[in-house]
Amino acid sequence: MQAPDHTAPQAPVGPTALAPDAAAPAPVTGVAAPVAHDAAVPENTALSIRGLRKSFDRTEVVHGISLDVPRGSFYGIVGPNGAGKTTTLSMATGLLRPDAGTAHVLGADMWQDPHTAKARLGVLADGLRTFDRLTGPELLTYVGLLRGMEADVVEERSASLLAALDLDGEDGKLVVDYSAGMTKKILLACALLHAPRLLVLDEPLEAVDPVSAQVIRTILTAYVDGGGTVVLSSHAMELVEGLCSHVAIIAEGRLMADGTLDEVRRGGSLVQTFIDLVGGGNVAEGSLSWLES
Amino acid sequence: MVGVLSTEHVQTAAAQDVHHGRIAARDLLRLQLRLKWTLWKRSYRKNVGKIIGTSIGALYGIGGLVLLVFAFLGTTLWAGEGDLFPQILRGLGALTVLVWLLIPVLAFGVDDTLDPRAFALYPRRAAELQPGMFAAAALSLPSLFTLAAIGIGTVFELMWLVMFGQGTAWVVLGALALLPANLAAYALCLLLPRAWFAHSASRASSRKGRELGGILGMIVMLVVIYGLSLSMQKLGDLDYSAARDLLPQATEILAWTPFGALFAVPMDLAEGNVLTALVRALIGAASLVLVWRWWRRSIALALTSALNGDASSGAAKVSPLVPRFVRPGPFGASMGRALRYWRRDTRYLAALGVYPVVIVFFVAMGFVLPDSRPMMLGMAVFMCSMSGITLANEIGFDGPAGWVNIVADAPARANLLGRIAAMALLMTPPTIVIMAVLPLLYGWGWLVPMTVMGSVGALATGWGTSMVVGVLLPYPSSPPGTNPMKDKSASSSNAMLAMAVAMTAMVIPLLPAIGVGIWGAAVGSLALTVLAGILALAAGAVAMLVGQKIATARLDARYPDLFQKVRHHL
Repeated sequence: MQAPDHTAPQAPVGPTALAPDAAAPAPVTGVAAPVAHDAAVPENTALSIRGLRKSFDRTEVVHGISLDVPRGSFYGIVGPNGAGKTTTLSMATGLLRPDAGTAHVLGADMWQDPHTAKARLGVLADGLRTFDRLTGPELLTYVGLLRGMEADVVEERSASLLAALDLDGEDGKLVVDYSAGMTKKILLACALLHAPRLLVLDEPLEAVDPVSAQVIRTILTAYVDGGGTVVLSSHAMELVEGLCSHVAIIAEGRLMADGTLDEVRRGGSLVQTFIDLVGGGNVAEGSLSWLES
Repeated sequence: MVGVLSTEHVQTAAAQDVHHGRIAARDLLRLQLRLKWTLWKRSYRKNVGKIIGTSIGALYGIGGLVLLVFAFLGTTLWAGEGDLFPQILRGLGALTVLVWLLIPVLAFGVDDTLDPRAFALYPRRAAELQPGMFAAAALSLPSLFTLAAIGIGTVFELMWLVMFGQGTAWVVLGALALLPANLAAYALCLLLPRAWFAHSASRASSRKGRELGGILGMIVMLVVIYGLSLSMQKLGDLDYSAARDLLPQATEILAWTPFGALFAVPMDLAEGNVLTALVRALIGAASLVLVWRWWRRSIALALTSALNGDASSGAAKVSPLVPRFVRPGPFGASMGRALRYWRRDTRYLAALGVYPVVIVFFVAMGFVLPDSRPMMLGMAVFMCSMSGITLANEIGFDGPAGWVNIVADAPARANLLGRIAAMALLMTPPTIVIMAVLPLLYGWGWLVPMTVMGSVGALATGWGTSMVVGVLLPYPSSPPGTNPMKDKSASSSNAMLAMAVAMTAMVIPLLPAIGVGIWGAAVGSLALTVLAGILALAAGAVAMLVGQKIATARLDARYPDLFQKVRHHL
């Protein structure tokens, strides 16, 4: 038997039920404490969010989130399902109008100066269709020309992106007929096409096979090494821990902690820090005993 | 691994089954019925359009039942003779079964609330699931109205037996066969479309094949409807005695097929034709058994191939996205994408298939009924403007894909005009040709300038209106590839409102042209008809200009908000 790995998540032994935590999660204090809502927007950030709020059907789901993503960082946003990650990123990328707050992309206000902000930004949305009746190359051409790029530049970059992402053999295949992994890759290519300085990727590796995932990781790491900034949201702690330099933990529409990976995990594992902050993971002894008989 | 487990664990791990693997057939049937009822009820929640649509449908249904009662009264009690009634009953019976098969197959599909594939993960066999699925199929408005109609028919059949039956024995035999035969025919109505669709779904067809098949069915249905409509117009010229001979012959033939056999049995017995009744009962029973087994086989296949049906659709032709004669840029990209969608998305493609059928109908109608030519010409121009408002829900048609445009910061003007340009490229040349040829065919060559200019003006007015309505009142649509006849969004209250606004807004700028056109045609003035054409063109130009300005400003300011309204396909 292998020796227990203390850095790995401590999975409960035996089938157990998750019991909801009675206490609401509270943000951490200290170096990983969330940014104050009234803090000035620093000049050297790739993305600065201040006091973003959003309600649906009169229920507030994002409660004034503020965070700063340093330029050149690989920034992971983690949180449980329904924590408000996608809503926050949608507001930051111009897809969802916030009820309050601001989002600055490399200094440009997304909602006051969207043209400048969007020119600097590449986005991969999760769970939304694309214009899938186009082939991959057609989709890239479409996005590139919409962005005002020269046709020959679009063609040249499309070819190299398709080759890098192993999609160059699928010229006549419509995106609707792509697998989930191929769809992620073509959307990533769309986000990269105009060589933005900030990439916002919502669950970029979900449903992607291991080989494609490795290709995407390599491309993103090279992109950050070249001075770009990546913000990604994910459920996969191992991915964030292995890839990101910075991390933010969101729960119940609030930022619990943010900072460098080491500042947030405080010497432990990210998973344990996450569970400590978000709650849950407690088990009611014997409540699933019927599974054992 | 086994070595580290306790004896208890080993026993648990070795268990081959669980203790709750069986369910009584009646309980399963009740469960499925309750599931169908719950889902049916919930489909009306927050769906005003569906409630209105269903209410209108129910009113039509009730009206149909009342008409049926009067028709039966007319052929039994009021007629004072009973010769015609059995023929009518056999004919209506066969028609009912045929309609139950053809309308779903060619147009609307069947309600698949209890899709067998949804049960694929449960330890239930097709034979266990089938009765519940059949009972659930009966739980729908068309089914209930059909049952009511059959009930009415049964009562009148009984009355007819008492009043006109040939001898007590035959009357008793007919009466005994009445209920089982009619209920069996009703069961066949429910089974036929389901068996057909379950079979189609079990075949591993390509996405493209399924989508195009749907459109083809719709076009065939339109051709049949228009063909029947034309035939009805010709009835006046027909020899009635020939028609009187033809209909009973057709009914008699149908009564020997699975479609008409079951409904014919009671009347056959009442008329003393025992052998005929027996053979038809056999045909009916065999049909029921075969269709039931066919359906069961397809359900069994569906249970083991829940994820099938998405075979490769082949490769699309590789060509530049932007047409050669357009400068590559945002406008060209938008136009190129729209052109691809006209070809690859059935929501658009269907329109290209339907318009020629409609135009042919107008032409034919004008020849069948020469008096209707002015009306047909007017309808053809009207169709042009209607085709213009095909684009009235473009943001809704994009649906969740709209995020691509937003994050790419697509210029609003290029985004909108590119779509118009694509449709103009496809629609304007055939419109001009058709609207030049149609008056010539009718012998009214002098109307050509008006019809050509009028139709182009109407098209442009439709486009201008569409741009504005599309960014003011977008509504969620069904996803790409949906057969327009099955588009759930069409019955939503948002869709009705948007279309009502679009049609009103489109007609108003055209009113001067319409007025002058009618006046000119009535007095035979070429000058006035030309003026009407010019007025239509002017209305189109103004609508395009104003529409484009309003729509661009609105889209620039509110695209994220419009996107959030339509970000989920129905």
